[in-house]
Amino acid sequence: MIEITVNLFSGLDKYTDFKEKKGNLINVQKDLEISKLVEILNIPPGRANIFLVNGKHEAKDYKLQEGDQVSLFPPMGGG
Amino acid sequence: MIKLDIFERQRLVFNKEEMDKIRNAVVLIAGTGGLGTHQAAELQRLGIGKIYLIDDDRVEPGNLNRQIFYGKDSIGKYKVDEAKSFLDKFELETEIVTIRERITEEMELPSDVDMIFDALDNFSTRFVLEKLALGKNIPMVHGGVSSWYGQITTILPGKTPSLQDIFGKNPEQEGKIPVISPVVSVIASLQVVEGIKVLLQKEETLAGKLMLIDLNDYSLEIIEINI
Repeated sequence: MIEITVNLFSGLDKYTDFKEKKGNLINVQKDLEISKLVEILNIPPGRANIFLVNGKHEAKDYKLQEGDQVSLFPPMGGG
Repeated sequence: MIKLDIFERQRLVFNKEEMDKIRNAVVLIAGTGGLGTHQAAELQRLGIGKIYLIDDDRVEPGNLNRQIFYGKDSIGKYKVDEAKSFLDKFELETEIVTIRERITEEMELPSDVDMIFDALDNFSTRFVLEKLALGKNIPMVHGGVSSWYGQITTILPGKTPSLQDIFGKNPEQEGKIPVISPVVSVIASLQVVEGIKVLLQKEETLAGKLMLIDLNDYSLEIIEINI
């Protein structure tokens, strides 16, 4: 298992049991893909499409590593 | 004729050099929808020298909940024409120039633009706009809205990550994007604040950072972007 930090923005925190939006420490399997993390967090499909890991954009098949800081948020494309 | 001092209060915020920079600045607002109309109103009040408005859409009923220059009698008319007509009625000191054109990779941006405000409603056109901005070495302030939430970042050509570096290649939302005027207004105003700070070369800007605005719980978060 590895420890990662999860930050959920723009309303995604409401799907989870986290009390805070930022700094949530959780343990997951090493190399777990972000798409699986989204499932584990009970975020509905299509709601979290933007993934920043340690401030860098990653695709949904990124494999999580010890100490990763993961920020998830939905696309906000309206104007 | 007595010259009206409309910037009496603004000079208490900006020094003479900053006021001159604002008065001489030329900005381009890409899209005259929700974000674009709010931005144009703010930039005109700040006394920006010239504003280009780009849009090739006509006003539709579904625009009226947030696009503040248009009313029922605007429906079917070109947005840029209605926007210019609205702004020009105030007889302030900003020149408003319209470009009734679709944003494409082939289009030529005006040569005098100092800054671009992204007021578009989809990422595929934003990526085209960003390419045009990078090609002309023009800073661009990005903003996007959905429901109670929004995001802002500043792209400085050659210095900061691009929109695709932050959002990936296909960040589009499916279906109609939920939008209400007060949230659009906040995001547009923050974009204008950011644009003025970039123009005046202030230190605390969102270049290389993504600001996420949550008006549901009134929080602002800033994430440093790495590439």
